[in-house]
This record gives sequence, C-alpha cells and structure tokens, in this order.
Amino acid sequence: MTESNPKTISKSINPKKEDVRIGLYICNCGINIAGVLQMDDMIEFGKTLPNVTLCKQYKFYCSDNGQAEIAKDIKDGLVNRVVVAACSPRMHEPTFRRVLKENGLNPFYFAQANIREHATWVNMYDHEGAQRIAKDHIRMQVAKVRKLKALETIKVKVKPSTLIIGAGIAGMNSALDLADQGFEVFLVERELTIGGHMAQLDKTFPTMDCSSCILTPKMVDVSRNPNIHIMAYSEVEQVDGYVGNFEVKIKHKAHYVDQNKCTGCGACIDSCPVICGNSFDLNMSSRKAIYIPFPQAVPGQFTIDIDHCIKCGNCALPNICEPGAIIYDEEDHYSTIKVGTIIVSTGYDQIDPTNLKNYGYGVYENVITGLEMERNLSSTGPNLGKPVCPSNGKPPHSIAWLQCVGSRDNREGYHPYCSRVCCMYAIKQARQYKEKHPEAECYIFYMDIRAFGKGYEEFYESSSHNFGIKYMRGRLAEIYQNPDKTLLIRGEDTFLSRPIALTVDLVVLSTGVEARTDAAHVASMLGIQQSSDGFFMEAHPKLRPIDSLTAGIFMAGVAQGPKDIPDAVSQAKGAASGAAILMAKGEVEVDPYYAVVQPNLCSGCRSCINLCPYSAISFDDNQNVAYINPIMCHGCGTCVASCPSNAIYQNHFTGDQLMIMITDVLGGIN
Amino acid sequence: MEKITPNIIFNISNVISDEVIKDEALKIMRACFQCGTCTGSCPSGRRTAIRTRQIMREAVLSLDEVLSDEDIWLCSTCYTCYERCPRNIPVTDVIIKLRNLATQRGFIKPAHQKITQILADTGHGVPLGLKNNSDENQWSKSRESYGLSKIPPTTHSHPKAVLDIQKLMKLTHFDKLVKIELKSTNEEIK
Amino acid sequence: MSKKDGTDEFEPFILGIFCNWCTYTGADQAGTSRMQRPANLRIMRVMCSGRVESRFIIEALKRGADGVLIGACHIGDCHYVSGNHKTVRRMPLIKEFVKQYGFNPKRVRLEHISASEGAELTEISKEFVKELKEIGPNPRNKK
Ligand SMILES: Cc1cc2nc3c(=O)[nH]c(=O)nc-3n(C[C@H](O)[C@H](O)[C@H](O)COP(=O)(O)OP(=O)(O)OC[C@H]3O[C@@H](n4cnc5c(N)ncnc54)[C@H](O)[C@@H]3O)c2cc1C
Ligand code: SF4
Ligand code: SF4
Repeated sequence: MTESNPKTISKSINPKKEDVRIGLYICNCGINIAGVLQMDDMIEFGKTLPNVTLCKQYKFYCSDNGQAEIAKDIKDGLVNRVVVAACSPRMHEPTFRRVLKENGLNPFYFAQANIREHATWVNMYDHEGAQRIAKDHIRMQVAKVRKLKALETIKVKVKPSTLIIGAGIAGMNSALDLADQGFEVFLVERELTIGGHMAQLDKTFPTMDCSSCILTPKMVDVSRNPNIHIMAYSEVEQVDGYVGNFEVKIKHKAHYVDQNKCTGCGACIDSCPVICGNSFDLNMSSRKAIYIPFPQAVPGQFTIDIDHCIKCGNCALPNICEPGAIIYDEEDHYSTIKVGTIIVSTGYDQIDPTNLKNYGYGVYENVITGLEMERNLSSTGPNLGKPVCPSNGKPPHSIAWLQCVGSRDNREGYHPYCSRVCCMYAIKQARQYKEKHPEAECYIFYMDIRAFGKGYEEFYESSSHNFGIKYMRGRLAEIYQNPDKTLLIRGEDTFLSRPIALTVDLVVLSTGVEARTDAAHVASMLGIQQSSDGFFMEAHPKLRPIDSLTAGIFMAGVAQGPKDIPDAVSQAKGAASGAAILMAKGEVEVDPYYAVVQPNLCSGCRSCINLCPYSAISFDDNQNVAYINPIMCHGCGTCVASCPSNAIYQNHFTGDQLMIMITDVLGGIN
Repeated sequence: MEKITPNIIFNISNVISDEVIKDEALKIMRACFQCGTCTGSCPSGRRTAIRTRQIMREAVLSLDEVLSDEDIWLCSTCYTCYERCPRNIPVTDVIIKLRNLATQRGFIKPAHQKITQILADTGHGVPLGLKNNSDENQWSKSRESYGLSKIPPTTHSHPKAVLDIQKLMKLTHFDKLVKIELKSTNEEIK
Repeated sequence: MSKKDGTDEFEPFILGIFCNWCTYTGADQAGTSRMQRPANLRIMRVMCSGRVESRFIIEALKRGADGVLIGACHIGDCHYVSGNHKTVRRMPLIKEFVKQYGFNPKRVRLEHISASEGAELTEISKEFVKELKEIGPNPRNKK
C-alpha cells in the first residue's frame, strides 16, 4: 500500500530507573493561569511530587526566555524529563519537544499538563476548584513522564502531487500556485465546468470589475497548465492513506458525449427538441438537454442531461455530430490517484429562504434571492443584464433589499453567523441598478452594514452619497403581495422608532451562504472536522486557520467559512503554500504512536486482526503470532485495548503509562 | 404613581434587567440587537404607541420608564414577535415579566386593578352575565345544545370555591400586590 | 465535606478519558470560549476512544473515582474510521464488569462529543456531576 519506509524505529534507550529527574515548569500564561491559581501553593505542591527535582514558574514558558530557561536546566544536567503545565498540548507540545530535542534530550521525554483550557478557563470564578483540577492534571502528567520511553519519529515520503476538491476561485488559485511550482495537481470538480460561484456573478465589489473578465482568463490558465489535470463532472468517492501518501478513488460521471471527440462546435443544440431549466441561471432561463453550462465553460465539451434526454437520436445523426461523439449508453467510470497532499475548496450553498414564510419566497413572484438578482444583472443572464419583475417583465421602479436573510438568525434551520458578503453584494447590486435607472428607488433594510474590507467603507459611503441609495435601519417583519403583484413590506425604521409599510415592485432577499449539503459526508470521507456552523474546521482558529486537524489536508475558500473573493484567494494561496512546504521537503515526520505486538506474549488468538481499520495487522503463520506493520498502523490503539493476552502496546500510550496516571491521581485524593 | 420621563438618560443600571433574567429563559434578552422585527411584526404597534424593540432596549438598560410607561400594557400577547425574533428572544415572555415587575412597583392601571377585583369577587376575570335568570341566557342555551350543563363547572356553579380563590390570594399576598379588597371576612377565608 | 446546613454535599471526582481528535479538542474549545463548568472533571488524553481498556475504568473506580466519562467522536466521524464504534460495542461488557465489581453502572458514561461541541461537553459535565451527587460518593471512599 505504501512505498515509504520508516527510516528509524529505534528500541528504547531508557535512562536507568533511579535516574529520572523531572523538571516541572508551571506557566503563568500572563494572568490566564496565575490570575486564577495560587502560584506559590502550586510550586510547593509540585515539589512534593515523586522524581520532581525542580519546580519553577514563569510568565510565558512558550516565549524565547521561557524556552531558554528549560534549555539551560537540561544542558546543566539538572533534569532529564520535562513537564510543562500550561495551555493545551495541541498548542505547544511541538514547541517544547523541540526544546528537548535541541538540547540533546529525546523529545518524547516530555508531557504537558493542560491547566489553562481544562482548568483556569473553565473554572474562572471557582479558584479553589481550578487549583484542585490543575494539581490533578499535573499529577497525572508527572506520573506519565516517569514512565515515558524514548522514541524516534517516523519519516514518511510525501508524493509531489495534490488533490484539490472543488474548482471555484479558491481551488483554481491553489491549483495554479502549486502547478507553477512544478507539482502535479488533480483538480476535481463536481459540476461540468470549473469557476464555481464566481462564474455566476456579474460585477464584483468594491471595484466593480466584471466577474467573468477576471475569472475567464484564470480558467483558461488552469486548462492550459500541463501540470493540472482537470477532472470535471467528477466526485471523490473514497480517500485512504495518510499525509504524503493518500490514495483517492474518483468517480467520473458519464457525459454521454465522448469528451475526446467533441469539438464543442454546438451543432447539436439546434437538433435537440427538449427544452429544460438552465440551472446555471437558477432555472430562470432554459437550455436544451444537450448543453454546456455557459459559452466560456472549461472544459468546453458538451454533455447530455440524461434525466431530460428523450433519446430521440437527433444529435447522434452523422450530419449533426460529425465526429460521432454521442454515446447514449455511456456509464460512470472510476479512477484511482495517489497524492501527497489534499486541499478542500468546495465552497458554499446559498441559503434557501423558502421556509421563512413571512417573506413569501416561492409564493410571491417578485421576491427573489441575491444570487437570482446577480444573474438578472448579468449581461449573460436570463434578461441580458436588464433586471425585470418576474410578474410582468418590466423593470422595477422600486426595489428593497433585505439583509441577513438566514444569517444572524438563531432560530432552528438558520445560522447565527454573519455571511460576510451580503452587505457588500446588496450595495453593489443596488448601485448597479441605479447606474442604469437613476430614477429608481432603492432601499436596503439592514441591521448593521459590515463594510470591513479594503475600499469597502468608501464604496458604501459613495452608494448613498453619489447614487442616493436609501439605507433603512431595521429588519423587515413581513411581506404581502398586492393584487397587482407589487409588494407591501412592513418593518420598523428603528432610527425613527416608527413602524413603516412601503409598496415596492421587487424585493431581493440578501440570502447568505451555508456549508454544502454534503459537507458532513466530505468531512468524514477525509477524516476532517466541521465547526458547529457546518464549515470545515481549522486546526487553530488564529494560528493555523488553513490546516485541518488531519496532517496533509488543507482548506481554502468559503468551504472553511464565509468570505469574499479576495479572502478566498488569499486563503487559497496559503493552502497551496502549506501543501507545497510538505511536498518541497519531500518527507514529513509522523509521531511514532504505532502499536507493537510482543511475540513472546501473543497467544495467536487473532482477536486483533479484524479490529484494525487499516488492515495493518497480519498473521505470521510460522511463529503463530500477530504482526503490526508500523507504517500502516495509524496509532488508534483499538487493538491494544482488545488483546486478551495484553501482548500489544502502543508507543507513548502504553498500558503502564496510562494506568499510572489513573492510580497516581486517585492516590492523591484519598 | 408619578411618571418618570427624563429626556436625557442619566442612569443606566442592571436593576430591572437583573430581575428579568433571574428567569434563565429570559437571559437571552440581553442579546437583543435592536433589529426591529418585533416592532414591525406587532399588530398592536401599528395602531398604538407600543414599540416592542424600544421596550427591549429600555429593559436591557434598566430605564425606569419601561415599567412606568403604559406601553408594556399595550401588548396583546399574540406571540408574533416571539416567533420571528432572529435572536430567539421570548419577547412576549419578557413583556409579561416586565408587567409583573411593574405591578410590584405599583405601576398598575385602574382597569387592570378592576379586573383583579372582579376575579377576587367572582373567580372569573370575565364573569358570565348571570344577572338574569340563567335559562334566558343565549350562551347557556348554546351550551345545552352541545349537551353541556347550563352553567359551566367553575365558580359559577360552585360559589363556595370563590372563598378558596380568596384564600390563595391572601396567602400569596396578591390582594396587597394589586391593592384590592377581599370582600369575605378573614374568618370565612380561614 | 459537609455543609453548614448539615447536608453532605460531596464533590464528585470524574475522570475523563478523551480522544485526541474530537472530545479533547472540544474540551479545548470549551476553554477558549470560557464556558464555565463545575470543577470536577480531570481529563486525560488518548489518541482514540478505541484505546480505552476496561481495566482503566475498573481501576479508577476501585481507587475511588466517582465517575468515568469517556469522550469519543460521533459515529462516522472517528479519525481512525471506526475506533469509536468498537468502544460503543465494548460498553455493555464494561458496564457488566463495573456492576460485578459492585459499582453503579451509571458511574460510567460514553459520550460522543465533537471538536466543536464545547457547549455539549459543558452541559454533559454539569449533568453528570448532578447525577453523581444523587448517586452519592463511591462506596470505596466511605470510611
Ligand atoms: C449573490 C452573491 C454575490 C457575491 N458577490 C461578490 C462580489 O461582488 N465580490 C466578492 O468578492 N465576493 C462576492 N461573493 C462571494 C463569492 O461568491 C465567494 O467569495 C467565492 O465565490 C468563493 O469561492 P470558493 O471557491 O470558495 O467557492 P465556490 O465558488 O462555491 O466554488 C466551490 C466549487 O467546488 C465545487 N464542489 C463543491 N462540492 C464539491 C465536491 N464534493 N466535489 C467536487 N467539487 C465540489 C463546486 O461545484 C464549485 O465549483 C458573492 C456571493 C453571493 C452569494
Ligand atoms: S493501533 Fe492497532 S488497530 Fe489501530 S491502527 Fe494500529 S494496528 Fe490498527
Ligand atoms: S426582534 Fe428580537 S432582536 Fe429584534 S429588536 Fe425585537 S427583541 Fe430585539
């Protein structure tokens, strides 16, 4: 399954039992810890613990000075094991392990007691309680460190290739950056074309450049780049392996048109008798059953929408499709690729406002969503860039935008977060309309205008100053349709403290963005997490906003959380750089937490074999014992817990090491 | 009661809001972001002076006028705002709580006082018109047509139960709270 | 610890054994979000809840822990595909052991708490503390 080799899997080089000298360093973390705990008492307590030869405190042990102090104690030979009681090991374990390593101590002789996230921050007002928990956490880690063994990290090779899932503006930018550095990129896109939502937009705030004019050249760059394999109309089916060596199964959906033969001439369009909704225009326009999503689509070959196709055979006639590309009975096919890194850039879905009955979306013709307005404003859209009221086909005289539809709404089914783009796109759309119809009335009903980006506040200011857009502070309460299909909107002008009722021709619901409906599926396939808002979760909200918790997997664009194009592009470049660092180095160090069968204890019962999710355990028929391949083992420890002979141990999480934590901490309370 | 209507806000405190949020379910009141959905939804506010959003603001800042002004009494408890509030604030329940606090501080309207008096006297907030012979009442005829007893099984059929109600009022000091007379003698109530 | 009013309020000792990827991270999130919970929960980390051996739990109870809370990913979200599934399967047997050792099986809980569910962890710990106070102290701690 893998070509990588563990460079070194060393045997334990334990210091002799009597020689364990633990340095216990209790961090103040400014006032985060010292503001809650009685530090002097903590130090006194620390000194009483077995094998602790010195116990100290300092403002910030993660700082240079803090690290230097630990380094000095190690170099001076005062300590040979280190416990730092501070923040979560998920934050600084690597930092302190480096200190040990740089000073000649095995980095696995380190343990970190979490007394911040798990004590002082969750018991901020119960100081005694926090003290109690902090002491117990220290007791456990001091116990553990006494039993720890020296280990060597495993080094695995990283394949110089990346899988990018989702080819919106984020995925495309990551792809180009990696390809330009010489890495191979597999760009998997579910839809027929790359481009994502940006292809549907007309202009972009705050510069008002035309979205397609900046997007289409990028799409062409992607398609021309020899290092990028575009896999459109495809989906990732399965992901196995680990950082450096992922094995990915991809499903390629049938196009019913041979993509190699189709020249994209378009002669088939006229021959097709079927007319159906054009999903690229959110079904506001129609297309044929054989189609490309829009003229600049990449790749530009045709596809048959098989759900609508009646198989009349017209397009297959030799005088219509000269290359003979039509294959009505084509089937989905699959391929497998091997990559070293993965970037997830699956973007977002627009929030569906149908269930907000008081706004009547889907019932009143003249209530539309932001994305529908975007298509309406687009010169390639259903109305060729001239928005009209769906009810009568006439340009509206008055339009109201309603902000925060489905966002900043704590009710079931909606989202507490801010979608970050709706304020700006509403201003943009209103301004676009006013440019063409200066006499029109444009109202934006808002609670807060969030114009936080570069040039955004100026854009907002100009929209009322130069274009006369009226900002109404208040969230609309309800919308009713008048007999002539105009709309009565009710709300409050909160500045005037007066209820208002206005009649307008068109209402645009500024619907926000939400995680893709299949985000949970994608997350579990990749073994990454979702935050409570449904978007993919970053390893650290501030310091590692682009990494997932799983090594080698990065994320970019709205898939990680709401953002606009400039932010999506920046993050995409960050993700590309994260992946490139691993691939340029060519190898990564992996914690050696693999499990080991001790052949002298193994009874050959085979209980463990089927438990391993990675098939890492094989059976040696000659010796009649189980064997675990350390490279295939991911280090969950499930087999360890199940072995009836206690023959398996897991590095760094051995039975002794965990047991002594339990016995010591409980010895403490009695 | 004296009405307090300062034009300048001199004092912001937690006195009122702390009392409201003693009920854990109302604590989210403090998250009101003044969007105005409640006011815009309020069928009463279209005709009267009640500005639901403003009541929430005054309550959060603990401005005394929220209890002394009559706005809180103009809510019809239709619960429309409650359903639509994007911050999931039980707006109507907050208003009811404010009414309780207002009453405790003596800001009760004569009409409401009258209703509580009627409640104490008859056991009904809105008693049935029993003055005429019950046989003549239109409502008792309808009741009979549905196979129900002429008079409903409330204090109207059990006049003695009024004493129990008064006993409860006495025990809970409700009579003092709303400043009404309990007509039965102490002996009777005991 | 007896209180002024004479009621015997004791502070239950809860040992949390949390998987690295979901519940431990969720506990970190509870911390960063400053979600307050009663000071009863001690947390130790394993890579996967599948690593939890029955003897850890029995040993903890034998030595006087009032409750043991095992934290795992939600089913389907295990970082190691299905380790948590195996933990779920082991629970009935573990509870049986616990009973045979003479402990109330309610002292042992398996909860699925994801990396973003600090709030759930906080609620669960509050509730568990309450429940353990009702059950009373570990019988081995009675002098
Ligand atoms: C109405 C509206 C107007 C806007 N106007 C502006 C503006 O003027 N300026 C601005 O800066 N921002 C604007 N935005 C925001 C902008 O749309 C986003 O910032 C940007 O499109 C995000 O790009 P992305 O690549 O992250 O996601 P997307 O554009 O959503 O791309 C994701 C891609 O991944 C694909 N995909 C999804 N799931 C899978 C899967 N499982 N497998 C394979 N492929 C998958 C999708 O098909 C899609 O192609 C607007 C947003 C809206 C809703
Ligand atoms: S610890 Fe055991 S079960 Fe888990 S991956 Fe390694 S060999 Fe497989
Ligand atoms: S609807 Fe809710 S959040 Fe909005 S003003 Fe009323 S109470 Fe506040």
